[in-house]
Amino acid sequence: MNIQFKKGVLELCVLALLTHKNCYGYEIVNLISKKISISEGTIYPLLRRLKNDGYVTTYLQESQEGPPRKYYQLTEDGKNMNEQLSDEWYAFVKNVNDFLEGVNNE
Amino acid sequence: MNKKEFTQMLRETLKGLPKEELEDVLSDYEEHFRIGMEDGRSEEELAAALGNPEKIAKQIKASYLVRMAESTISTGDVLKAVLASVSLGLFNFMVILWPFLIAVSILFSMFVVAASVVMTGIWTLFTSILSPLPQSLQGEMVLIYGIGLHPVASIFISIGIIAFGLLFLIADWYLLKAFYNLTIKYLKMNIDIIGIKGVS
Repeated sequence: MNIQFKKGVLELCVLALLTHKNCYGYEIVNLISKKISISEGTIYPLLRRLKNDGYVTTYLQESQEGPPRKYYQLTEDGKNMNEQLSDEWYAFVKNVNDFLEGVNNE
Repeated sequence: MNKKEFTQMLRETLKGLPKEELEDVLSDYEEHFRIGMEDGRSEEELAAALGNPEKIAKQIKASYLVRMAESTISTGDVLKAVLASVSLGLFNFMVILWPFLIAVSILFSMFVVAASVVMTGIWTLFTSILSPLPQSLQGEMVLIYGIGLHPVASIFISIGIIAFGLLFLIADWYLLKAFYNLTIKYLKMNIDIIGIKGVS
């Protein structure tokens, strides 16, 4: 699979997840790796990049179980980026599906 | 591999990063282990799922260096970022490093050529101004200069040569800047490689 493609897909998954609620790192890794088989450790570099690019911010919040956890929250830029990437993704999937149907029905 | 071995390997490979940045990276993984164990998973299980710490660290380091190269304009920084990316194994050594070095040397030699054109212009200007003076004052200069044009004409030609050289210098500067930005863009595009093994 193309490098850019993989990177974009995972970025989209993280952004989409964060539009619904703020999450801590383990939660993000856990939810995504349930569906997509990844090296879990690579989500953290991705989160760092999203933070450096201004798509997410972080804050610490106490948890009942122990020390505070680092939560990730989407910024306005992040929300826009999520919409843009979702649109691109759905258009891409639709085109591939159309293409496959066309080829297979010949 | 347990938690201690994982974080030690991470710390070792991340050497060279500012302390604050390094501690921040490590705290993310420590939090991951802590919550994962509360979740009932073992250290070994968590470490295996995280993947190779050396690879993760190299990726973090490379994207840090690219970010640094982006915020300052310095050839040294961009070279560091290129080398870090090569060490990631993202690119074949020959595929990225040689074209990069060749492009840098072409741009550098263009710079040298442009600078010598400017110097030549200054030299001819200097000698044309001196040429109306008596032979004895000119000394050997007139021999080097000696194209036999009218001094006023050769002064204009010299100014033309200087202007041409300066234009060449400016063009090279813009090329260099464009090349710099392109390199950073290319590195950024490739660095955040994610190890997706397949979709389940």
